[in-house]
Parts: sequence; C-alpha cells; structure tokens
Amino acid sequence: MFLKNIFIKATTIVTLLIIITWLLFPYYWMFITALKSDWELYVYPPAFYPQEPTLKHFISFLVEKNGIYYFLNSIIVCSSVVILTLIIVIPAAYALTRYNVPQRFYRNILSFYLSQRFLPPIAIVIPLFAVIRGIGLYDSIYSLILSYTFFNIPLAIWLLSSYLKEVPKDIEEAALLDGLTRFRTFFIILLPLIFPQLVSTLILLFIFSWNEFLFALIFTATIKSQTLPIATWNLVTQFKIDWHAMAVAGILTSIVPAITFLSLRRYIIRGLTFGMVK
Amino acid sequence: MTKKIKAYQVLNLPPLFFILFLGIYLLFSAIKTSIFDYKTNQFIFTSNIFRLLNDSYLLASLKTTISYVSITVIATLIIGLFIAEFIHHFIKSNNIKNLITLLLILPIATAPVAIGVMGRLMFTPEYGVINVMLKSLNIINEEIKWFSEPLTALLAIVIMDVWEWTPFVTLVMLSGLFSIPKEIYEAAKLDGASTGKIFRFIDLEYLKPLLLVVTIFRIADEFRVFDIIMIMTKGGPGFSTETLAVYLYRVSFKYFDLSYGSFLAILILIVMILISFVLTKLLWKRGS
Repeated sequence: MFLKNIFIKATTIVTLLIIITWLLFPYYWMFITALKSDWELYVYPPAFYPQEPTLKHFISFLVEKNGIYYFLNSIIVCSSVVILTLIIVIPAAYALTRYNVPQRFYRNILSFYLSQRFLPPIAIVIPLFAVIRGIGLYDSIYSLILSYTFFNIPLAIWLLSSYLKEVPKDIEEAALLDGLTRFRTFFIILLPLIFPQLVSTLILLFIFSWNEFLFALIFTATIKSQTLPIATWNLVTQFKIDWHAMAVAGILTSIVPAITFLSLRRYIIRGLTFGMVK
Repeated sequence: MTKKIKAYQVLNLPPLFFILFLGIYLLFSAIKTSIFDYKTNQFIFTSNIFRLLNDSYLLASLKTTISYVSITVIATLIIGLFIAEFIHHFIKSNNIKNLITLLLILPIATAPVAIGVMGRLMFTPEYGVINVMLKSLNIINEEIKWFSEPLTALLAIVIMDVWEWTPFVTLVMLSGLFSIPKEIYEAAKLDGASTGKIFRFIDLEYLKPLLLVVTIFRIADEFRVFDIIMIMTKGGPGFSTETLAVYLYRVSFKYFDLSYGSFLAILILIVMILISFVLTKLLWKRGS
C-alpha cells in the first residue's frame, strides 16, 4: 500500500513535469534563440541556453528593421477595432437583455451571430478584397479596422448579452421608477456591475485583432499599414532567413496577448468558449 | 394600425445592418466576379465550371484538409481529455491546479503566426532542437529534413497545431469536470469502482454533451487553418501541405485569378452556411 502510494505520487509528478515542459518549451526555445549571440546559431547541435546572451537583436528589430512602426500599427488598429465594436454592440446587447424581448427574437438573433463563427474567413476575404480596392482602402489601416470589426461583432454581442443577462432586472427597475433615464441607469448602475466582464470582452477583441494574419496579409502592402504578424511574415519570406529577427518578432507578437490574458484569466475562459457554455 | 417598432429592435439594427449589408454586398460582388472576369469583364462562368471539374489541385487540397482536420481534431480531443482527467483526479493542490490552468491559457493567447515561428525554430534541420532530442533518445540516426518531405512537413505542422489547440480542449473539459458533484465520486468509491469505471461511467457520461460541442467547434476552427501552414511551409514542399484555405489564397492572391477564386469561395461558403446552420441548430437544441 505504501509502495503503491509512492508510485502514484512519482508518476503524478513526472506527468506534471512533462505537461509543463511541453507547454513552455516552445516559448523557451524562441526566447533563447532571440537572446543568443550571432555565432551561437551556427553551432550544431544547438545549445539549450545562451552562452553570450545579448539584447541587441531586440533593438535591431525594433529600430533598424522598423519593428516599432509595426508595433504601433498593431496598437492603433486593435484599439480602434475595440472602440468601434463596443459602440456598435453595447446598445444592442443592452436592448437584447433589458427590454422585454420575445424569446424567439433573442434566440434567432444570437443564432445568427453564432453561425458567423463557422464561416471560413478565406471565403470572405476574396470578395472583400475587391470591395476594399474599389473604395480605395487598400494598404490602409482602415481596411483592417473595418474587417476586424465585422468579425468581432458576433463574439462581442454574444459575450456582452450573456453577461448582462446575469444581472437581475429589478436592480435597475427602482432607479427607472424614480425617473432616471435608461441611458443614465446604464452608466450609474449597470456598468459598474459588469465592469470586469466588459474589460475582459474588450481585451479578447483586442487580442483576436492583434493575432489576425490572413486579412492583414491581403489588405496591406507597406509598412504604412502592416501589423506585427505581417512583420513576422516578411522575415519568413526573405531569401536568407534571419532566425534572430524571426524569434524577436515572434516574441513581440505573443507577449502582449500573453500578459493581458494571464492577468484576466477568470473571464477569458468564458470568452474562449464562446457559444459552447451558456 | 401598423405594428409599432420596438426600441430593442432599433438598437439591434446597427450591428445587424453592418453585418448583413456587408455580407450581402460581398456575396453579390463575389457572384459577379465569378461570372464575369475581374479585369476584362468577359463572361467566364462556364470556363470556371470546366476548370472546377478538372482541378486536381483542388482535389489534392481537399484531401489534405480532410486528413489534416481529422488528425488534429482527434489528437487534440484525446490528449486534451487526458490532461483534463489527469488534472482533475490526480492534482490535489489548488495552487498547482491554478498554475496549470494559467499555463494552459498561454498557447491559446499566442498568435498562430508566433506558433509557426516556434515550429520553424524547433524543426528546421540547421538549428532545430527536435532532431537533437530525437537523436539523443536514439529514435533516429540521421537528421530528418522535416520541411523537405511531404509527410514530415505535414507532421511538423500537425504537431504545432496540436500543441496550440490541446490546452483549449483541456480547459473546456476541466470546466465540465468541475461541475460534477463530489458526492457521485464518493459514492462510486464506496462501491469500489475502479479508475477506469469512474472515467467511463461518470466523467464521460457528464462530458458527453460538451464533447459534442467541442468537436463541432474544433472542426470549424481546423477547417480554416492558414497561419501556421503559411509560416512553416507556405504549402510546400511542392503543394503537399496545401489546405483548402492555402489553395484559395494561392489562386486568388498569387496568381490573381480572382474570378476563379471567388467562384470557389462561393462554393465553400454555400457548403459552410449549410453546415453552420445545422450545427447552430444542434447547439441550441442541446441548450434548451
């Protein structure tokens, strides 16, 4: 019995370590590649830790390779998408949950949005490309803002209405009876109640736009409008591959989402399982 | 008297309008380009149909997509479920549980492009660590040139894809497992049920509906895979790792054959709309 317990414990610890290594090793490899100095990349077999760690590849990517501009483009596009989506979506989600909406209307409209999730973006991007060129938005960040908003609306409505639905109606009914307008009730009573959920929704929208690759690949052509994933892509398609720069670009692309996700994980899981768990 | 328009309907108009207007406009413009050539405005519809019937690349990419989707979906479901079961039954400490869920979120948050970069850095023969590991474990004798052979190239992508999506399955399964009442396990243990029986008759029974949903979402997500493949192989060597999305990209934006591209896009859209309609219905049915 005693031996059996020790055996179970040991297996548990080993399995745990394997899972953790499996989850973290790709990040580790990317980080040490970026930190290794030039000659270390030509050593075979490659070392598992940098012998002469240096930050110069980060600086070279950000400054000499203009990485900072891609970074700024990403920030501008994603913030605009978030603001635009919320302006369009909050009134709709509010209406769906706070008015006397017939159950059928509620269900149909949410199914409609949910069904958007199954559409393959590649099938939409081809006609959208013609439209974007037609209205002169090719190679401008507006093309990205427009298309990301289009793709984010369903998720945003779905999430916000599920959060708002959890707040009991009678909380604000008293305020409404006292003669407050719906507009003010929303800001004074409802908003503070769902604030954390709202922030997490906002961050999810931000991250999905941040990670997006296909639309950015097709709608942009120059540094004027290209985002970080495209900066990475530009490095991949070069004839002589610069592994350092590639690793740095990969790190910069993944670091913003990672930090924000980790700080808000409680609500993030709900957002990721959009449409699965009600 | 006409029906009064309700406030909630008005407030729902902007997003609906945005999506419907753009959607319908896109549909019509796609239909137009697939019937008349994008540049010359010639009638091209019949030649598009003939091309479709003889399109061996399309057939090949369809095959790749189907095998890719089935392998990754099955692999992520099995590994994801295994890890969830492991965490649920064997990890007692809440701190470690929290730590693992934290780590599980990481791959989901990471851009597929960055995951492709990790794949390149780990599999490339000049610098890759995978060959070194396999060699030191005596699994292989010679370095594998992962990206030069169709089969190994696809395998490398599949491995990175499974790495990306398994945590997602685990998280969903964990949320399902947490909702199982503790008393059921206690009763089962009193009756002397084995671990295998607990898994089969308690966990799996409870997870059944969730498993269906996850499978649906996984298929939809894998079907659109594009980023990782582009970063890791660009569909190569040859066109062997080309999925439907990558093929459509090649036709429309490398050869700039937008007419044929739109034509294929509409076909895929029609199929996907039908499928998504059925899937959404299925999901709602489960809910009520």
